Amino acid sequence: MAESLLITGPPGSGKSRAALDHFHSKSGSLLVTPTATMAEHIRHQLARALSPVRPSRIITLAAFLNRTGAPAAASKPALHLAIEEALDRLRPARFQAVAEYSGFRNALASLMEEVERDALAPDLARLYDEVEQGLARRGAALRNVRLRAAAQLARQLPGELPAQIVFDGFFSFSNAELNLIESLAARTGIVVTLPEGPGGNASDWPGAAAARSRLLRAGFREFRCASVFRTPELEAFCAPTLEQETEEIARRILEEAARGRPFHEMGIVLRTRDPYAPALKTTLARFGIPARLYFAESLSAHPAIAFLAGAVRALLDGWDHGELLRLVRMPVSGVGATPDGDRFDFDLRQLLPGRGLPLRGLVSREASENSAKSSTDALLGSLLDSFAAMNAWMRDRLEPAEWAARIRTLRALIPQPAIAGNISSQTLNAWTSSARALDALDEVLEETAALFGGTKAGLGGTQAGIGPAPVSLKSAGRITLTDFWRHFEAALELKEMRIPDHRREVVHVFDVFEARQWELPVVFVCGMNERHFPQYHREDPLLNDAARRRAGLKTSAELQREERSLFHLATTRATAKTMVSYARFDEKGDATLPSFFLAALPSSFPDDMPVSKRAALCEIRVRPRPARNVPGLIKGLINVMSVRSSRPIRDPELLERLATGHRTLSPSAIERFLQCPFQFFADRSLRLRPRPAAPRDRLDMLVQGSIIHAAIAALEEMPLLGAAVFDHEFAAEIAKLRIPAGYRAEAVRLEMLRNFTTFLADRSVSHGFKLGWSARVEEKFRIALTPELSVRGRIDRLEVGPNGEALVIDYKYSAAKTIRDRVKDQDKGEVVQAGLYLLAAVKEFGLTPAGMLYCGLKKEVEWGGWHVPLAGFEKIGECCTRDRLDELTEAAAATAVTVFESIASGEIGVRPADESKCAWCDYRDICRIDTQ
Amino acid sequence: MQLTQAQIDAITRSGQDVCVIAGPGSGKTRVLIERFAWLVEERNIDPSRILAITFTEKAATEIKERLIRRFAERFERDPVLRESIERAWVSTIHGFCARLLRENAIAAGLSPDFTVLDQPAAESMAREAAENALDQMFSERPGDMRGLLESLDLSTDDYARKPDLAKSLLDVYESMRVAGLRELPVARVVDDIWPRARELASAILADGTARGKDVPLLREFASRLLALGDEVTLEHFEALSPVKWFHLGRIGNGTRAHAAAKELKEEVVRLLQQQWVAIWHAGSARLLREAISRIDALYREAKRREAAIDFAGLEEETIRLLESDTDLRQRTASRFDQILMDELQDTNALQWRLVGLIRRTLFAVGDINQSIYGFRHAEPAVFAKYRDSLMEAGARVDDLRENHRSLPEILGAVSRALDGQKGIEPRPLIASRSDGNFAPAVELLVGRGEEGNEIDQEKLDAEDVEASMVAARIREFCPDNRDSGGVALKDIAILVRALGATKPFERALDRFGVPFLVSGGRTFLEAREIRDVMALLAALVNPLDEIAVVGVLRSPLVGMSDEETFRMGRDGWRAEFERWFGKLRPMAGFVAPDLLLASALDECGYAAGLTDRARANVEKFLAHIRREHRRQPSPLAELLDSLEALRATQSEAEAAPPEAGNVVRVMTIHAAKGLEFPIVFVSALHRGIDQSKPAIAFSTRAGLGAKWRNPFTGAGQADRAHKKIVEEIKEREAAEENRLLYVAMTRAEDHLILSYAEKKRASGWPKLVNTAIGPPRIGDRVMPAPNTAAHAAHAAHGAILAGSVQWLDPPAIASRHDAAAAVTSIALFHACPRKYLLSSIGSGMQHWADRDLEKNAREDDCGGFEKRDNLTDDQGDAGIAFGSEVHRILAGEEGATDQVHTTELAVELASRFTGSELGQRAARATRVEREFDFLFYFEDVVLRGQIDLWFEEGGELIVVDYKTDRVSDDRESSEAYALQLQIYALSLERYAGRAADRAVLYYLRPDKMIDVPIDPGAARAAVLAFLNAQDAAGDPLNPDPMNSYPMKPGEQCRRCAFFGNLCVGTAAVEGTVDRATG
Ligand code: SF4
Repeated sequence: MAESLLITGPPGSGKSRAALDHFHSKSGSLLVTPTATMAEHIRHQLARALSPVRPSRIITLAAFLNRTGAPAAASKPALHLAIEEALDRLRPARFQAVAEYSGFRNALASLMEEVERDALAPDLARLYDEVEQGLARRGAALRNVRLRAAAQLARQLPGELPAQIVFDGFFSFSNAELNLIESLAARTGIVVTLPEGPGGNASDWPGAAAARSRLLRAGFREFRCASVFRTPELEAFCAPTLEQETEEIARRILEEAARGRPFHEMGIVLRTRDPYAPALKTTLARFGIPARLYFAESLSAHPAIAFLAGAVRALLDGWDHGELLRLVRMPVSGVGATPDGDRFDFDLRQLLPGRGLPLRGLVSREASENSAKSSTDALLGSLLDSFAAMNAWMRDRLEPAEWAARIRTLRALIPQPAIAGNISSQTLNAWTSSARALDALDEVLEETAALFGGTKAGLGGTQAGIGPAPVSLKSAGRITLTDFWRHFEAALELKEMRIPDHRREVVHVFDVFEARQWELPVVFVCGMNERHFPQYHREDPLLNDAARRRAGLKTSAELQREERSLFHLATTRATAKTMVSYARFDEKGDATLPSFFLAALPSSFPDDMPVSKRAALCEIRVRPRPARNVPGLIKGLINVMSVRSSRPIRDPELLERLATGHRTLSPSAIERFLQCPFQFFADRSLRLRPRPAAPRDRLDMLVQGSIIHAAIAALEEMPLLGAAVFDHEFAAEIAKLRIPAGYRAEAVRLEMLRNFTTFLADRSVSHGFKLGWSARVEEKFRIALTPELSVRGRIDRLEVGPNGEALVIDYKYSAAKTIRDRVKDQDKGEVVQAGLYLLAAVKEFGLTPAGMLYCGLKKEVEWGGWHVPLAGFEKIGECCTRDRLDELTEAAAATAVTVFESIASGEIGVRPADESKCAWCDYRDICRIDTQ
Repeated sequence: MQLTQAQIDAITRSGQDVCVIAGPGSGKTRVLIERFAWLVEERNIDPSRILAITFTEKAATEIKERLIRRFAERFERDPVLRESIERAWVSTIHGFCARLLRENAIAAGLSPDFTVLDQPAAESMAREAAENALDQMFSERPGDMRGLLESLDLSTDDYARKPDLAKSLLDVYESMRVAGLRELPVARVVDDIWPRARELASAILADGTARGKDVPLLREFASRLLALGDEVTLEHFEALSPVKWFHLGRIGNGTRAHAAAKELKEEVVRLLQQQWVAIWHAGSARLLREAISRIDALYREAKRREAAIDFAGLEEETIRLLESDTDLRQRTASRFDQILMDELQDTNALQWRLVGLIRRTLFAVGDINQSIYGFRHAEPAVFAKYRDSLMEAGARVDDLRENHRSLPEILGAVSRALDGQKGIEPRPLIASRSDGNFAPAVELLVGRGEEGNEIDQEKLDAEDVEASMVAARIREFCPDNRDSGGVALKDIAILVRALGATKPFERALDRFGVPFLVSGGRTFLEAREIRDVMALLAALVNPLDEIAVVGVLRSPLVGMSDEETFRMGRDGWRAEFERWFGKLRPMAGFVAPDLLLASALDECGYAAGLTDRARANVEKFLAHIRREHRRQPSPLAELLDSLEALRATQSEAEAAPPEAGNVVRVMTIHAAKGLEFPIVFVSALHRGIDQSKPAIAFSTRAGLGAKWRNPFTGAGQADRAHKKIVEEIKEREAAEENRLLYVAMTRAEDHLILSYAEKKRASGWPKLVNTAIGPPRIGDRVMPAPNTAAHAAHAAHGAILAGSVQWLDPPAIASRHDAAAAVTSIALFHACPRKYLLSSIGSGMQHWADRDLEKNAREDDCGGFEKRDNLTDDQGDAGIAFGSEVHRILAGEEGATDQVHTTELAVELASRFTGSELGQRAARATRVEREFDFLFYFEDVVLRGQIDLWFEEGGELIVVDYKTDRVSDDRESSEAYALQLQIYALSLERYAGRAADRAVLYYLRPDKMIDVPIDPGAARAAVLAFLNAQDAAGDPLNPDPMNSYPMKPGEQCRRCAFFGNLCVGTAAVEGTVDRATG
């Protein structure tokens, strides 16, 4: 019998090298690793070392099991389906409350892949059996079952085994794995490596110790790589935040690179993917550092898949227009980030909420029928047509495989890339990733169809042609899209993908498990904070520590102990330099606890410093140098510091434009200017168009005001209808603006109605009018103040007396206080409406001014303003002389002229007269004033 | 510092539950830590058997860090101790619950991977549940809901400051949950006042003696009351309204009628109104209760859907779990020998109940005078009860009175201002230090308004005056922002009641050039720089949003002047925006949103102009969207929506990190709790609390109360429960007000400066401090900022900071090619670089080209994209499958295949080779390998491939590649095949130990054999060309990466899947070839 060898040693002691020596020593050896990337890494490493290695000789344990002829591994969807079926059938009482949670099913799935049946409580064991049978029906099996089968086959079958099998990179082995190794050892040479803790003590690496003693008992000879032959230089640093920590890493990488170190000689080791991987991805990209992250992405999050899956979801949901918009707006749709798409976005937004396809009455499409269609508009049209065509699917019942085929055709919705010059490498990358995602989507479709229908492919087996042919379930028969989709979506959620990236000159970013067989000159270990590295482990809710101990699985305490070993592992990946780092504050801005492992570092720091202070604090802030020569860089300083100094317009041509553009002003425009010239400029000169409001935000104050005005005007024509006119106007406006008729709109209606009714009941003014007075409503006017300037407006109500007296009434849907303030502010020169309306009464309508009254309609009716003595008006407003009215008029006219002159002289500065009003200003986000 | 005897006593007290009353600065945290240490060292308790509960995460972190330091010495000897300290249960109560629930998720009925919702997330989820609940109820019962909406006076706008119905109900819902209730109890039955009213009315009528002007009115009122039926009608309310018409003075004093009228008017009518309004609106009240249950159901459902749990839920579920599972409760309780609890005064009833379930012995520290979290349902009474129960049981209560923080003058001021005030327990503060060198240690600054009697005007200016006095005073401490006389800017804090009050101070500090940081702000999403970035985001989403686009253009991102903006006009804006950021838009979705935005900012050098604070905000913002994206990737438009919603609802967004260096801290008193500073300003004392009270409210004592509309007058009318709740709230607020000031003042170590803006009537805090400290320094004008160097430096703040930024250039990257490649890829590239590119972009392209190709499993694919051997793609699906089949037969695998059947043609083609001379030689070979996979490191790339056959026979080493297609006379393809074979031959040298002598392409269909010359030079050139193309194309700055993959039009285009489709090479080959037909 060939010799069986166990190589042990702490991380960095050369176990892998010893294992490789053995691997090379015998031709026909097989090297088995825990992960595929690890296998690939070793293959390439060997190839680069010019050693003639056959790639098929270095494989994962899973692939090895496939070769032994053990049943195929259960794919994730298959396992989840089996679990779902088992839960459905057995309905174990203990799990009733949690059975629906995907988190529970995930936990169950990983438990079943991890544990052996006998270790389980009776209800779990029954589930296990059921799952096992479900999988067996599909020609697949759980991991331990496969291991057992492989062990069996290894022992019995006459087939040829490799001359030697080397297991390297494993932290420990489960009982089932050990069984397999022992069976193999009976027939061929076996070499196994196992790690030891930092102290060279096997028990410091939980799990490894048990495996070691068992292998020793089985007759393995132990070879110990006792000494750690690498002592990289060690450096620790900390940064205020996680972001700055990643920036500091980037800075150091660039420094190393500048010294001539290739990027591929550097790596960043993370304890877990989150939260560092996404942050590093962004930071490294910003600094132009090529990096490869060894993490899979979720397939369903890929834009191409989100788009296609979204289309089916939208179909099932009856094409909710909000959903539709979301789909069309994705750049991957081909029209998302185009002018036509932008227009469509705004058009449809205005029509929300809505549902159903085809879309009728959408402005841009109809408008484009006659005009020459742009290519994206055509694309948009065909996209919408394709969506609409999907409606027919809802009537169909198809075999799962047919559904899969049909959904596959959806890829046509993604426009074919236009291969032409000037395509950026980013675009190329986007295409590559889309193509890859679509392939992966196909796989999921195949798998789903296979799980539910009669097709043969895609069950568990990863290597076609090896292992028994999978037996599929009886076809689920013809099903609806909804049914198919439910299963498909579940499978999709489980699918991960890797965007291909094979560049050599990259910084490697991986987690500590992936890092185990890597050796790089420079390694960063980041996130050295308590709870991150080390992670804190707690008991498993499905299998508590006692049970785990019985099952030979790691307990929470052992996992906790393993953290230290992982730390040791991470910090021994470097041959030249290890840099550990942490962030001092968390995302809430609270101080963090640096990892206690830092204290274990043999460091050059003085011992009397507390751990957290021993790491050098990085104060330098780094930024990528802007690619362009940016004016903002200089202007930025000015603008950020002094917002209020937006400079007036001086160009004569533009001044001319301002003057002509604003030769007619309305009182409200003038008041707007008086409140803030910039507000006026943005609103009236630039005429900035905002984004259409969401349905629920449409019933705003402006709309409420116009409803009330319309109702009051209508009342004049149909006085007998009373409050009913309000309801009529309200309903019309709601319908026009497509405001959802929920309780909130109802609450607004009731409130407005209450106010309106109060207004109806208010007799304070109408009682004042004697016979001979008549009312004119909604009177438009336009009067010239100077040859250059006219004022125009619309008077809500003009009461005309028998002698041509004019009492101007202006309704405002605002509270009493606002009315009082308006009257009060009159003399501050911020209000011109009253004066200008009175002037209009004279100039446009040839009347004698008798007064101007504001009428506030919110909560209570509030009258305010000025009038000459009029019987019945004693309690209303301020009784004054004609002179006072003339004064108002003159002041307003003068103000209007000054305003016009300011406009014409280019005055557009951000200068709010009343900062508290900024809260309601549409431009507060861009004027750069500080609002709270 | 040595422990005091009182501290030692508390630390070592045993044999009883311990209650430590720890005044401000009395070393509370230290006592807690020492207790922990004492338990470990003296009582030999394993650290993992101690549960320490703190009020905040921050405090937990601090305690843990201090514990580690406390035990540092022992760790050398005792590594096990270290580990158990590291993992000790030191956490907030929520942290504890989360841990317990996770470990027992199944029993608790929770998903094992449940997420804990943070406050804003929980709020928005609850908000949505409330909106949906109300909408559902409205659509089911519009009439009833209309009635409800009309019976309450609430805002109709959810963005308004005044709560709307949904918000009001959510507030009630929260109080109900904190009270530990699953549903709202029916309002408490109250004494019926109606009989008493009738009695009084009868008494009035019966009393004939009363004289007075209003007696007839009174009698009419009384008789009308008596005429009312028992069922409450509108008339009832109408009947009550005349109560204001009669004056008691006009009713004969001393008569029975007068007494009855007095009671009626002053008491009974009010109660009656409260009683009737409740009866009248009973239906609406039921609806409110129903709405709450509906909200509860929907909210629970939403949480369940997301497998999420909120903070209150953590407590609820833990209690439920422990109460329902005795065994677990016992196990949990026996897990801890002692529970240490910090800030017991801020515990709520639910939390106390929880502690009760697991506690065996308790060591609790607290100080009622520092209880300031009533608005979050903290119940200081919990602490009082605990303390009192201990005393009643004859146990000792430890009282730490000595204050090690503040100078005696400061403590004196605290006592003078607050002793004897409501909510403050009389406890002397004893200063243990007297080493201050400030005189006076306590000051009072008052800003007086400059002009006008107008209230608003006065307020505005007085606040600015006050703020300028504060800024000027800070300037005196640190004249040039540098440490001076032992004072650094970071030693100074300005505390205010609410963040709304910070504005004048920010303005003044800016003017005075004092660097500062406002912490704990909800100002985050409102900050100017964030609005810039939000505008950028909005414009990227849709540049038709002109407000956003112009915002970007005139912001420092682009830095365009308004004049330019005006000149450009809308088409110009869009064009300019596209010029700057257009290329980013299509990348949305493909790169993470934070990277998208960060690239835009970097490109503009935006960070250069930002202050430290602003930069931290931007960083925070990017981190926020990164987390959101990771949690739930969604299109940009949705991200924008959710950010805007967050901003609109004013959900407390996180503050910028406190990495402020040497700056003055501006914060709320609540945020300052637990902190201390040498110099503390307690400012804007005039700002009172929000006086408005909720229209709907709940308390355990009163039940559900509401302020309804009086059906007769339409005015607001509280029911009795509401009245009672409002009283409770007022009571609590008054007490908490005083405690808040107490906490604020006791933050100061050496110097306490109080300040306020003078208002017409001094009330509240100004009044308290006026009596305690005097005389104030009064300012009546806005102080001018000194023109110092520090000021100038600060004015150029951006520039200074820009100096501290290191601009890094992107690295020069020499090589961007892949580490490994398939030999077929090299050959494919050689045949036509463009075709290689199109296929390497992915087989997805093939689908776009509407070609559905089967996977080719022949070549071991290590995650590469060359899944399909595109050299043979002219054959379509069937062709490739057929090719593989032939290869399998030749590899001797006929049997082991999942191929359903073996076609005759395949067998026949295979036999052509086996029957050939070459085939015969192979059969005789001494060494032979079929389907030989290999890796070959060549010119800095690892090539991988699979050789169909090689053998050594007659001293000759021969490499063979079979071809099943028909292209033997196609020049380009043959060339490519030849190249492939040459590389195979080269690679073999390493494996076979000798160079190949001969390389043969065997075309099976025509049964034709072509000998390929072995030419390492050609192979090398081809590989290098391939790598060079990748190097050039991978450069992100390369304007035209496609150029690296030129087309090679020719005969082969006929059979190319991309021809006339993805390949624009059509034009180039037009006229020479037609689209192949198949
Ligand atoms: S927010 Fe204020 S300062 Fe800004 S534009 Fe509007 S009114 Fe002017």
